[in-house]
Amino acid sequence: MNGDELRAALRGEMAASHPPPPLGTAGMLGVARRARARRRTIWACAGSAAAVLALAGVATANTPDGSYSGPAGPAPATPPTKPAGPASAVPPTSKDSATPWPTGPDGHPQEDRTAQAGSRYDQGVRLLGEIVSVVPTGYTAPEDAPGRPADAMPLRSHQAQFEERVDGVDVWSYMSSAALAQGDRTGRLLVETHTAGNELPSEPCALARGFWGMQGECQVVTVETAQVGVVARPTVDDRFDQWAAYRHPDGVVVFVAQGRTLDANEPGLVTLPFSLRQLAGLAVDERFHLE
Amino acid sequence: MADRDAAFAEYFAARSDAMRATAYLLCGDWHRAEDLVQTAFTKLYLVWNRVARHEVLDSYVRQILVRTFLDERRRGWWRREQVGGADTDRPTPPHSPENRLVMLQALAAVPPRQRAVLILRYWEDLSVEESATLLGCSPGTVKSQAARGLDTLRGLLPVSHNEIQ
Repeated sequence: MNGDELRAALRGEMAASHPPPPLGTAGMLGVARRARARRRTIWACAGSAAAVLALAGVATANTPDGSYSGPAGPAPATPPTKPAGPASAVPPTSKDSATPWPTGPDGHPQEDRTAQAGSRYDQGVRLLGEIVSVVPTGYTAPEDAPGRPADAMPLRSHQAQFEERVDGVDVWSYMSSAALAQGDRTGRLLVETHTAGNELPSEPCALARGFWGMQGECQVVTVETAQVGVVARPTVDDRFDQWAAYRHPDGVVVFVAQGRTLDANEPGLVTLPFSLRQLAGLAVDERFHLE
Repeated sequence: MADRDAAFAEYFAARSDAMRATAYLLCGDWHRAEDLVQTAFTKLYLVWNRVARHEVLDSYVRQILVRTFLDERRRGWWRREQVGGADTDRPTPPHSPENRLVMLQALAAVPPRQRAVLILRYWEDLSVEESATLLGCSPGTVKSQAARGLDTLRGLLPVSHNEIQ
């Protein structure tokens, strides 16, 4: 295959693809406006903090002993932050999106596929809590501290997202992750649960190899009567070292993945926290079986 | 709707589908592609009034898209690349619909930076120089990454697929 052939192949691929409904224009505007409002708020807070510090500095400098000497006068007024219009003011229209996003707890369609509040959001939080509850002896699950660099991987995270609508049923996934630390070394454990109605493969290894498209050498591990697909070694993608996948009889799918490293900039674990059998056991664990 | 919002909405409506297709080829997952597009357009919105020359909007958004993709891959985040979830070990007959998955799966297995170069050169039809500027590297690097990417792709595709191309 040369460049011209690849060009033709890519066009053929995309012409035959069936993408899901895109984010509507109104939804995108809502997201963008909120981002701008957040940034303004940050700048306003930074400005206020700088003003306070400057005033404190002036007040301190004006006293011989550096002690507080009374009111320093009103702080410079910070321009009021103009709040972004409520997201619900621009609901997606049928023109923008063939399938509207699910209705959020405020009664309005979500702005994107991630739940920001409500029962779905709570499930993501719950999943994170369940991950923390299975941390093995000898490991800890540290929490994000204020001093952690902004571009570092979060130590804990959770997300609930709308996946698709299948035969009128909303399929959601909950993905939560926690760092697992041992001394100064850090790895991670991630669980992703897909609610019933999803169209993921049924065969255990097809299910496991499809996780994040990572592919790998798979084996089926039996946990009591459950057949769990377990990838012990990825072949083309090293974001995780091992993962297990299980489809419950009711259709709920659970992926459990462990990695030696959390962030390329931090030292990783010497050994993985769980054996393959333990990983398979976690995939069938009822604590991760969420609706 | 303010002029800024109206202009932005018009641009988004006109170009988001194309950007989403590029993002999909980069990451192999429609949902992730949508996240990338959303990130890119959000960043564009924040600097909308400063991007005076609207003829450069495409290249600006494309640059954010590709760099966000590469950055997230470098950090091992965010989430999946799920190209149909099919089993790549299974042979597929020539001309079958599964060849789409084979092609996309092979592309997803090309190292991210090589893949980005392939997409920019052969999907976006950018020149070597334009690709280099977007990626922040030299034209020579783009050429070598493109050659390696094609080579990798050739090695990943089944012989039958290479033949029917």
